[in-house]
Amino acid sequence: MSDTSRKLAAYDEHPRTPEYAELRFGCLEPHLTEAPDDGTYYLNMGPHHPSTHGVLRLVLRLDGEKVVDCEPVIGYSHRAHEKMAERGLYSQFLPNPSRMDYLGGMIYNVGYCQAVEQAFGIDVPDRARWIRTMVSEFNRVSSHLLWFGAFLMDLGAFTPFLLAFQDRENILDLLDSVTGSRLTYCYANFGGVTGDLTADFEDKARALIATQRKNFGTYEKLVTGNTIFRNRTEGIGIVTKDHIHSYAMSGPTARASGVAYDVRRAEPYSIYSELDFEVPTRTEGDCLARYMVRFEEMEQSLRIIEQCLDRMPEGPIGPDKPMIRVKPKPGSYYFTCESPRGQLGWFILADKNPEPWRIKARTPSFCNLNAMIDVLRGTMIADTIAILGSIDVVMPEIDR
Amino acid sequence: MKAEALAPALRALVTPDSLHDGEDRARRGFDIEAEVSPASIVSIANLFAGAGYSLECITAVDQEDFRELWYQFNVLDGPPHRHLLRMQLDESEAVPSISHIFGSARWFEREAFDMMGIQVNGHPNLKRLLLPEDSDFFPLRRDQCIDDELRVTRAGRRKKRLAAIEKAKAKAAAEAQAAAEAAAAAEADKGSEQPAEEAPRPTDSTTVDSPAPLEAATDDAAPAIDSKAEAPTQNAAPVVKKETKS
Repeated sequence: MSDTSRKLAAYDEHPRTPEYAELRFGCLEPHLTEAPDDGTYYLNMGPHHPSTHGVLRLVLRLDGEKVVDCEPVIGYSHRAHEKMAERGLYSQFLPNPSRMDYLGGMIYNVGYCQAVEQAFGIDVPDRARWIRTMVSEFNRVSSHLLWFGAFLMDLGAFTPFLLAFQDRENILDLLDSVTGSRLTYCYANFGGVTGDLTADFEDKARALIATQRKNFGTYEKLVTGNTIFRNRTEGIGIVTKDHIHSYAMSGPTARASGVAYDVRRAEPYSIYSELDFEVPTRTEGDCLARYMVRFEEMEQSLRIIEQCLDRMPEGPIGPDKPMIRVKPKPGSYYFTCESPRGQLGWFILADKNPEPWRIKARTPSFCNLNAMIDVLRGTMIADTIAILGSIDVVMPEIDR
Repeated sequence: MKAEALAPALRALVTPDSLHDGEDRARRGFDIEAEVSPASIVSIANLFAGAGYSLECITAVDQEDFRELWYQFNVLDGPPHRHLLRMQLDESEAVPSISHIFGSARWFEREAFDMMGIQVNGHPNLKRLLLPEDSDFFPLRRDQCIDDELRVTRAGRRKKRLAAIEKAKAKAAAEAQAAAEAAAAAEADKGSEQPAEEAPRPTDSTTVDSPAPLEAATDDAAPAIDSKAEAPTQNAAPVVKKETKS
C-alpha cells in the first residue's frame, strides 16, 4: 500500500474539499492548489468516463460550470514500448508500433518499417510501396470513421455511431483479407510487405469506395447541417495558431486552425509525391472545423486509394526471405509520417549492435493533449467532452 | 526570420565548430545538427521561438557514462527545416526548463524526468508523467533491465567494451613509452645532431597517454561506445608511423 493510499484510507472528510483533492491528486499544478477558497471546486473526470476514449483522467477545477483550470493525468496504459525496443532486434520491435495506436496501426507499422529502411538503406520494391500506401489510407479512413461515430456519440447522437461502425467493419474485413489481422497489423516488414493482394481485392475495394461515397452523402445530410450538432460545435474549443506553434500540434487539429501542415505534403515520403490529393484546411479552429477537415480528409484518402488501384505496378512485394537482422549504420535518424492524428516521428539512435540503442516515438496526440490545458481554460464543463472528442485522442499512443 | 538568417546567430550559441549541416538529409531526416550546453539552451529556444519554429520533440538518451537530451525544432508553416541539438549531461546535472517558451516542453521535460531521471530547473510542475507518483525507479535507464538474461548480456557487453578500452589504453601507453625510449636512445646515439627536430616528440606521446573518453565521445553524434574503444588506437597510430620513420 502506498503512502498516499494509506492517508486516503484514513481520511473521512467530504471528498470535494481542497484538502482531499490535494491528498488525492498529490502536487497539482501550482495554480491548481493555491487559493481554492474562492468558491471553486475540483471535479475528477475519468479515467473511466465514457467520453475520455480510453483511460484519460482530467482533474478539473470548476467555478460553477466553468472550467478554471485542468490537468490531464495520463499513463494508465503505459507499457514501456520504447524499453521493449531496446531489448530485441530491430525486427523484433515490428509488432509493437501498431499496438501503440490501435486505430492507426497500419500507419504506425508501415512508418516504423520506413524509418528503418530509410536509415539503413534497405530497398523496397515499387509494388510494395504502392500496396503500403493503399492500406495505410484505408486505415486512415477507418480511423476517421471510428472518430466520427464516437465523437457524435459524445455529443448525444447515437445513430451515426452505428452507421459508421458498419462502414468501418467493411474496411476491416477488406484489410483482414490481405493482412490477416483486424486492428493490430504487422503487415509491413523490412523491405516489403508480408503478403500480396488477393485476386478479388480490386473489385471489393472499388465496390467499397462507391458505397462509402454514397454513405458520406448520407452523413452529411444527417449530421453536418443538424442544428443541435452545429450549436454544440460551432465556436467551441477554439485552438489558435499560437497554440499550434507553441505546442507543436499537428494533424487535422492543426489544419483546422489554418496551419496547413501535412507530412505527406511537407516532407513527402514513399510515393506521396507522385499522388494527386489535397490538404483540406480551415481557419476557424473550433470543433466544427476539425469535424469538417476530417470529413474532407476521408474523401481525399479515397481518392488516393483509387489512384493506387489504377496505377498498381506488378512485380515482387518484398525480399525472398524475411529480413530478420538488418545491418545498422551507427548514427541518429529521424523519420516522420502522417498518422490519422498528426505527425508521427521515429527517432532512432543506432550503434553497430543488431539491437537499437534507443528508439523514441514522437506521437501526435501527446502534443495535442498537452495543449488542452490551455484550450480548456474558460470553457464550460459540457463542452469539455466535445473538445476532447474533436481532437481525437488515442490514449495508448500517448502513454506508449 | 528565415531559416538561413538563423544560422549565424545559432552558430554563436552552440558549442564552437559543432554546427554542421546534417549530411544526407533524405536518409537522416534533419537539416542541421549541433551540440549545445545546458547554459545556452534558453537563449537558443528564444531564438527559435522568435524565428517561428516549434519544439517538435525532446528525446532523452542514456549513454551509460553520461546522458543526452536531443532537442528537435521544426517549422510547421512553410517548408520543413529540422534542427537537432544534442546536449550532454553528467549523471546528476540539471538542465534549465524551456517550458515558458514552448508549451510542448512542459510534457517532454516531465517525460525526460520520468523516464530517465533528468532534473529540470524552473519547471512549473516537475513530477512523474506516465508512471505512478510514488515509483522509485527510472525505467529507460540502461541499468534497468526487463529480464535477467538481458542484464547478463548487457553487463557482459559493457565489460567487454570497457576491457577493450583498457586494452587499447594500455597498448597506446606501451607504444608511447616505447616511442619515447626509442627517441631517447636515438638522441643518445646521435648526440647533438638534430635536437630541434626531436623536441616535439615527447609532447606527442603525453597526449596519447591520457585519452579522455568523454572527449572522444563528443566528436561524433553516434553512440559513443564504439568510438571510445577505437579512439585510443587511432591516436596511437601516428606514433607507430613516426617510429618507423625515424
